[in-house]
Amino acid sequence: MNRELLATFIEEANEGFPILEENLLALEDSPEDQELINAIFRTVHSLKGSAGLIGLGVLGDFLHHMEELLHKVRSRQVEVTTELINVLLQGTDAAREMVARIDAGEELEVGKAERVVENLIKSFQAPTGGKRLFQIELRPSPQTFTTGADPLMLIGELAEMGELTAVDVQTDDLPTLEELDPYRLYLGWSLELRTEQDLQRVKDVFIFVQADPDASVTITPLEEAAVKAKTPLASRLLEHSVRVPTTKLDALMNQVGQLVIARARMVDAVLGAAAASPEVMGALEDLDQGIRDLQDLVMSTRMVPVATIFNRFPRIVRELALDRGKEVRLELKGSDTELDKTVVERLMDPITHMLRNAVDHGIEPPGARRLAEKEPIGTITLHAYQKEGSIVLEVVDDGAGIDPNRVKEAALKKGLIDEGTALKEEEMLQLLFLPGFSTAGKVTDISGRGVGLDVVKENINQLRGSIEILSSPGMGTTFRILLPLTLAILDGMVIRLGAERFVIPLSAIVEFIWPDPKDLKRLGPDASLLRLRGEYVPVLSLARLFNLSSRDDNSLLVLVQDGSRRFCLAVDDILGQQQIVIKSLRDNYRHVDGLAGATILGDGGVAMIVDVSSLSRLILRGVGQ
Amino acid sequence: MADRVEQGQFMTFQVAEEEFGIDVMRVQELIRYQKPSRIPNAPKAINGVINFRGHIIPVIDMRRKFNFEPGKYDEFSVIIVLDVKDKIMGLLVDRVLDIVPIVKEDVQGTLDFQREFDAEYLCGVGKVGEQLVFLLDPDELLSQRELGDLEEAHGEFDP
Repeated sequence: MNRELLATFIEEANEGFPILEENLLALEDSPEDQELINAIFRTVHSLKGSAGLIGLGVLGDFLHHMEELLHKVRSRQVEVTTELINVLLQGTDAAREMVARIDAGEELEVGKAERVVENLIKSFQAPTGGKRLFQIELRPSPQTFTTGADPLMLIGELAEMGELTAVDVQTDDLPTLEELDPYRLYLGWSLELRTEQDLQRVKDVFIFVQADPDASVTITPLEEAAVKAKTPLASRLLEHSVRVPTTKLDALMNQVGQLVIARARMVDAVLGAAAASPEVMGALEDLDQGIRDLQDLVMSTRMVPVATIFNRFPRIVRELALDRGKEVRLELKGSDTELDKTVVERLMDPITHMLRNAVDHGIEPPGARRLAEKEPIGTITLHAYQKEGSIVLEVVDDGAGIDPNRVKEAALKKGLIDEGTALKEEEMLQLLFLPGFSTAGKVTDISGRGVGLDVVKENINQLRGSIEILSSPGMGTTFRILLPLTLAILDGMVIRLGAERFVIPLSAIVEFIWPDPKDLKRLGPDASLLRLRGEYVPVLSLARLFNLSSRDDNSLLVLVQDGSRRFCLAVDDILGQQQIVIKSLRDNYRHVDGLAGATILGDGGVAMIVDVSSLSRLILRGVGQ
Repeated sequence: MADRVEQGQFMTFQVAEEEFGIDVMRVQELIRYQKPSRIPNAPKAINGVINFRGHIIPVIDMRRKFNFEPGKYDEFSVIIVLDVKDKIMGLLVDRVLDIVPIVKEDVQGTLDFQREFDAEYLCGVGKVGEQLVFLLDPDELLSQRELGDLEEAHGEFDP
């Protein structure tokens, strides 16, 4: 089997299944939507065709059964019910599993699960009526071969539907051998099909052929009055696109990163020279603009809409709710918001986790909701939007909410904070993200809310994002995630600590402070408190944390924030703002606590990038101790 | 031990008063000493990281690595850039001496006075004329132990 074709098919299938699932779920809500049924049909039909094309017969057969069932739905022989949707979802799962097995290089056989689903599907199929005869004139596009289609497959499909009583090849257009272009299709066919299927079913075979304006297909039922073909079926939306492996995009992104560094070095060098001529400056500006445009363009190729994962959640929530005996409606907002592909993929787990939390602990059972005079069906909203160079993702439920004081009590009991720790209500809620919050088991009925939230925060931090939780008891809970648009490049502030330079991500910086010494209160060797506009903010000595010699007198502080948590970092000097390319320290060394990586500055030197959220964890642990 | 040595061309270099050798095929490039940027809380032998043509690579100070007296970095100080497994790293040495062929017969596998150094970084002692050369095993230079064996669960993200 051709490996490349197989890889393409697996990719196609993995893109197709979520769409299928989404459409099936949508169909459940609007069973009369013919467009949806058509879309579902098209997806299955196209997957079946591709599976057949690369010789995955077992999968092809399986999808064929689904297609038959869908056909019945389409011609209204089978009604859209929850059972039907379940069967089709199970079918989708089974097909997905088969694809996964193919992907893993395993042999395919019609296993038990598949047989069950297959039987279910078959059970919905009504007995068929008498046989009919159709006359089919098929004239595929001369360019057919370049699209990868094979007319023989169409004829094979017809043969499976019944009996081909006549097959005539039209060779009128066939040129002489010298003029023959082997990539061109010169043939047409006249076919006679005797089948139990109806006209619509026969037409469905040619669904993609008809989408091609150069092709013609006429199907005439011979035993009925000739029926004029209705408007052609909605053609598949074909965007002109090329599949590119993500490794190539990554390499491209890296290369642009090098260019950004080179640009910065160039700017430094030119500005350092005594008198740069206006020509040089002009050329430099052009170069600058060009690189910025290129960077934006390359970045945009990596962007995908969050819909690619959002669409999987209705299914997950539906099943969770069924399982837990709750009634939940999931609303998706801003599905077309675009994010870096790597980020989107890595959001799947954390969002699933938060949705599970919302269904499990947020949304009350229908009875409790009625008592609280709420709508019996709970609503969870998944909302994505762009805000000031960041992407915001919110998981909002209208459930019972969380009482911050009870979170604090639980944290006290688990020894995560001290008795005297003064916390604002918002800060109490953030304790839920502390590792170890949930490990003590069900001490209180809210302890379940903490399950794995530290892992969620970790996942988000790794994407250079931040997460916070907002809640009002009785009204519901909101998880708000802030993410950078891209992972590869960030706007940073270069600072000096002793002889070393560090970069603090600009997105984390609130302000620079030259404090009055009387506003500073030393707490220990590594930490102080700063009184800032009536509030106390922890101050962290980066130099001590990183074992570097520096002035270390807290005369210059950078106020940073991680989610709703704010703290100061003591630095020696501010060197300037710069766009930097993030490099992993792991490539040639290893991970270093407190650092998000390193970067190459304009002069070719290396600076470490400070990871504000991992420092924030240190502070959170250190507070009150 | 001797069987770890492939006979062939070795690059020899000097650290303190001793002469070392390393398989020349493993050497990617020699670069003039540049001051590395310090990595917070790094092992003692790691001098810091430098920018090697867009890669950020750690530099091992061989004097510190082998517990010699700290030396001055001068115009002869060289960073030998090596390929080690799937990583790139630099060795900071006092000076590079020569490239010499060493045949198997001239390599002695076991040595008594290896206690001074950590023997696991060596793959033998070669003889060049009357001079003894400690042959380094580049794959062991920055062992997991050296790297702290820390791939913590919460880590930086590799873009």
